[in-house]
Amino acid sequence: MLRPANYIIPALLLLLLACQKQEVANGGQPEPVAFTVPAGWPAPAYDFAANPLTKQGIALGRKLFYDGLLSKDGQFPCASCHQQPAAFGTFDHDLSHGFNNSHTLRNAPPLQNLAWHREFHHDGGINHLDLQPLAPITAPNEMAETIDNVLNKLRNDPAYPGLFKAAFGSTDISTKRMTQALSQFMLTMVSADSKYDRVKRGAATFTLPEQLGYDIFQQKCGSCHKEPLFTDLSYRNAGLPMDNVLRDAGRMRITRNPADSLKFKVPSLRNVMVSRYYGHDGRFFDVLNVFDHYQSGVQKSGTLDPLLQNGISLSNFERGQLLAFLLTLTDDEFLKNKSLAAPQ
Amino acid sequence: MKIAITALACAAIFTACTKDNSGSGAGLATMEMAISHQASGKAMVLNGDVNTPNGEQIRYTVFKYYISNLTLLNDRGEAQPSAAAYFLIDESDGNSKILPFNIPEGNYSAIRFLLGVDSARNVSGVQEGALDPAKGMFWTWNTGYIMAKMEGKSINSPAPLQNVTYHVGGFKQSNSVLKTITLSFGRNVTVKANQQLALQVKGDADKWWTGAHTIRIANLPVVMEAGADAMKLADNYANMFTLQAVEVK
Ligand code: HEC
Ligand code: HEC
Repeated sequence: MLRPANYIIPALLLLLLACQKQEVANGGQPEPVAFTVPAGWPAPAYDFAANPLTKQGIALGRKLFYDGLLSKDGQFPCASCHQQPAAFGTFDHDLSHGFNNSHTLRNAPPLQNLAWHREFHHDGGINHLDLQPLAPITAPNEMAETIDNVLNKLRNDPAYPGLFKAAFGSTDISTKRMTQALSQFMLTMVSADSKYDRVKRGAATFTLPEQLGYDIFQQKCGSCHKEPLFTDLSYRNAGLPMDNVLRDAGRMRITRNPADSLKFKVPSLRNVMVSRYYGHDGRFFDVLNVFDHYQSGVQKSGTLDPLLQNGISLSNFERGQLLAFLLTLTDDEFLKNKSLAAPQ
Repeated sequence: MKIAITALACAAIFTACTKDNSGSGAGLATMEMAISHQASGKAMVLNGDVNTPNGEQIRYTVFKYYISNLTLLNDRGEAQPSAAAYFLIDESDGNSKILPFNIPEGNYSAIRFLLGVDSARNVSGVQEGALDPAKGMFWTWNTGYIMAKMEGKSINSPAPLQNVTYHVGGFKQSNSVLKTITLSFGRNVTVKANQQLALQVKGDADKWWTGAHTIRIANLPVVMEAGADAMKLADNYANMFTLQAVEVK
């Protein structure tokens, strides 16, 4: 005969389980992962309390990031445009390819240190990292899908419901969970271990050309490409003439304020030597072309940044040293980090 | 004894679980706001032909908007907090037009709500429920909710496929289309515990076209971003609601 306690306790447990559904995953909790802020860096902008990093959440985001299922014809996962060897930009492309032989309007920016960004896209039109995936998923020239369709594909997939359960406590698959998982993975794309970083930590020293290049950089570039992120995340007109076909007014597309015409988010220069092409529409093939632009191509207009009114003069000597310095921003640990690569 | 304690524990767990926020528990009443849409002085029929007040032909196909931050005002004009909830009203979905709430018993004189989604929810990532971006009331490339959507066909439209497309949004101070609507009951209404306050509200699509601005399809067939045109539409549609009946059941 069963004594009451023998079935009351399981019943109680069941109740508790029903209650805590959110936390229970695969018989255990999703395992928290700490986000480390590199020494001397500012506080991140991302609200980790609203989407705590977990091992299972990051793993789910990683699978989603590399999965063509998020695109209409299966060909265009996030990773098709955001490739690790190019610091998660598009390797050797000006504009990226999307669905049905289309092109994006802009160059895919490297994805790194996103936890410190408040706004996304070259024009800052997206105000939260979690919202970012919805733009490429629904854009007809990128992944060409609808959110509902993607969610249904995930729900009908043999693997995903279990992975959502492991990450979020139940098999429910929602817009919010999908995008939060993608954010969790993207937040782990931290580049902070280049030679420059090791020098800052006292673990390496610059060669003479690198040091001279760093001095020039601080003098001529650092107020916009501000350390340690190598961007101050502001929107500025760097004097690139408007392309007559793309007719991209930058930040003004978002704010409708003529004072924002031709302003673009200052790009980070971390890993810049592996992330060509350059400029918001990828018009520069090489960093040397960018130097040429600063030297003699800056177009004057009412919104041109005050710091660039006279361009930036760069002697051949200085260019060599600047290049030597920019090379120290290449972070091989990041570019080859296996935990950021496609899952096996 | 053991059983009694276990039962108590069970009960405790249950209450912990339900997260009921009815407060004292006493004096709970309900409220129901039922919205019906009109066009050209008749009940709105999607895909039926009507005229705008400016004499242009239109066949409405989509008529949707967000309502949020509903608040009842009492006889002293003070706001009674109500559930923080967001509703997507959709002409094509009958259930969406009936808004149910729990309210404390009391004397009420008006209802106030926001036509749109408050700016806080436009700047805090991916939301759920009625606010799920998958509902299609969201701009993905320039973050923000589409607060109200009217779509249709008109022989007067110069746009491709004779489309009329109004996606009205904007939550920043400079381009806000958020409108606070207050509908007065015209008297104090006493609602006691277990009673239901039933409101019937008319939403008149004609109001989109006239009022502060005269909107002609021939001149403005498409509005799909925040800015001056969206603000004009919002100035007009802010007047679309009238309270038709207030009843206590
Ligand atoms: C077809 C190519 C393509 C695909 C596929 C794609 N992206 Fe992008 N991504 C871009 C381009 C181009 C931009 C810049 C857009 C702009 O500025 O208007 C961008 C911008 C971003 C940014 C903003 C970075 C910054 O610094 O502002 C993030 C984050 C991002 N993408 C993540 C994703 C995720 C996650 C996915 C998959 C859900 C994805 N992308 C799929 C091309 C793509
Ligand atoms: C006034 C601010 C400012 C200064 C000073 C400045 N930049 Fe830039 N830089 C920008 C902006 C803004 C862009 C993006 C322009 C665009 O895409 O339209 C940019 C783009 C770049 C790019 C392309 C990066 C990419 O991924 O597309 C490189 C490389 C670059 N700058 C290097 C430099 C160097 C080197 C210096 C100093 C010699 C410098 N910049 C000085 C604002 C500045």
